[in-house]
Parts: sequence; C-alpha cells; structure tokens
Amino acid sequence: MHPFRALRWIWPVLTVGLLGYGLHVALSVPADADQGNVGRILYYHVPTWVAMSFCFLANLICSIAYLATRVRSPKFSLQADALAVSSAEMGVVFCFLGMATGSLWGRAVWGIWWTWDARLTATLVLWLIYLAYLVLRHVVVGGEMRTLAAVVAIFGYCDVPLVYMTTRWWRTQHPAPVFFGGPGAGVAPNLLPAVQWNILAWLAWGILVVGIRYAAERRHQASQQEAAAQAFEVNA
Amino acid sequence: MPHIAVLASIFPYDPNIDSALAHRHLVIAYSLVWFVQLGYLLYVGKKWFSARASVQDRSGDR
Repeated sequence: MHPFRALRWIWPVLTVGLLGYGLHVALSVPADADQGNVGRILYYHVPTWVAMSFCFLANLICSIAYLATRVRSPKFSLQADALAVSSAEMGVVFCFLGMATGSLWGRAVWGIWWTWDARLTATLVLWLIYLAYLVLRHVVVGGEMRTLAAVVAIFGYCDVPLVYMTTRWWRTQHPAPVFFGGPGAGVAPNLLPAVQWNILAWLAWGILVVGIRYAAERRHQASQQEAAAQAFEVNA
Repeated sequence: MPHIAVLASIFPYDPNIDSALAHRHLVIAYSLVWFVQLGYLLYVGKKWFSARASVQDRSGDR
C-alpha cells in the first residue's frame, strides 16, 4: 500500500484520538486559580488562534506560489490555488470561533461581550478581509479570478502580524501575549498540557479538513477543465 | 435549552468559585466549537461528494 493511502486512514483516527484526549485534559486539569472553571474556555480559544495563523500562512505561501508559477507550471499553480482556498476557508472558521469563544469568556470574566480595542478590532478586520477573499472567489468569473484572489490574499495577510503585535504596541483590554510574551508570560505548568494537547488536536483537525477540502477543489478544477475541453470540441 | 442542560453535567462546576453565567458560557463555548467544526466538515464532505459526482458525470458523457 502507498504510504499516503495509509495516511488517509491513519490521520482521521489520530485526529479523533487527539481531539478526544484534548477534551479530556481540558476538562480534567485543575481550575484556574483566578478565573475558576470558565478559564477552560481558553484551552479551546488559544488553539483556534494558533490553527488560524497556520491556515492564513498556508494561504499566503500558496497564493505567492500560484502567482509565481501560473505561467510556467499551470498544473502546480492550480494545486497551489486549491490549497490556498482550502486553507483560507478553514482559517475563517477558526477565526470566527476564536472571536466567539473570546466573547463568551469576556462576558463571564470582564462583564462585556466586546470592546473596540486594538486586538479585537484588528481581528474582526482580519476575519472580514478573508471573508471578502472567499466572496471574491465566488463572484468574480473568468480566468483572472485566481490571480485577483492571490493578490488580495497577499495584502490581506499583512493584518496577521498586526493582530499579533497589537497587544505589544498598544494598551488593550485583551490580555498580553501568553506565548513569547517575555518575563511573566506563559501558562502555569499544571495547566500547560491542556493548551498543548488542544493545539496539537485542532492543528490535526485543520490538516484533515483542509485535505478533504483540497481534494474537493481539485475535483472541481478537473470538472471545469473537462467542461472547457468539451466546449472547445463542440465549437471546433 | 435542554440539550445544553445535558451537556452541562460533563463540564466541571464549583459553586464556590463559578457563577451560573460562567458555567453556561463554558458549556456554550465548547458546544459552539464542536457544532461549527462538525458543520463545516459536513459542508466540505458535501462539496467533495458533489465534485466527485460531477467528474464522473462528465467522464460518462465522453
């Protein structure tokens, strides 16, 4: 059996196992000393941001690859485009869930659903940019759609580092960075497994779903190419 | 919401440190993540099956 064929079955099983174990750890570690049990929301909130960052990074790399290879290597560029749209969709889902879980946590801990601070506003803008990217792919017709989408994706990615840096550059309601936040930052050692396992689990989930979405997009591209070839034959 | 009430028993709750609102939001946050992710997986699966059917139809036309 080809190793990639085996991975098709191993990866979903591994992902379900990781998600199950991640959920178990998230609900069984001790409650946060300051926040109580509502702090467990962060064991799902933080992994969604990590997964979102990887999705949008993949979208950026694939968009650049599409633009760089669309003339020289059309087949490779279509593969890159399929991965770009797949990772952008998954990123939008993670981004939405990051905002929603953050809002639920904020209402319980801060007493507010939302505030227009730099972190939250930049994140909302990021979500809207990638939503616009996906809408653009649906409404623009013709061969230039992919090129246009790749350009939007490259400019859109500029907001990702901005979102990360907002809590360093400005005073925000949102807490300071947990990871790479300097002295005093970080998660208590006994709570760290809940964050780490769920980051791993949701990354595995992201790879699985992006993989299926990529396969669907490749089939869609093949169908489009067949239709174009048939139309050419009829006209000839 | 009875389905939330069923799920609520799975999530840790200590009345000494947790408010009812905090517990409800904890349950909703986890449920929302799973509901949206599984919903998106269904959408992706539907897209995969319809794309496969479309390719097979076109191959059959030839």
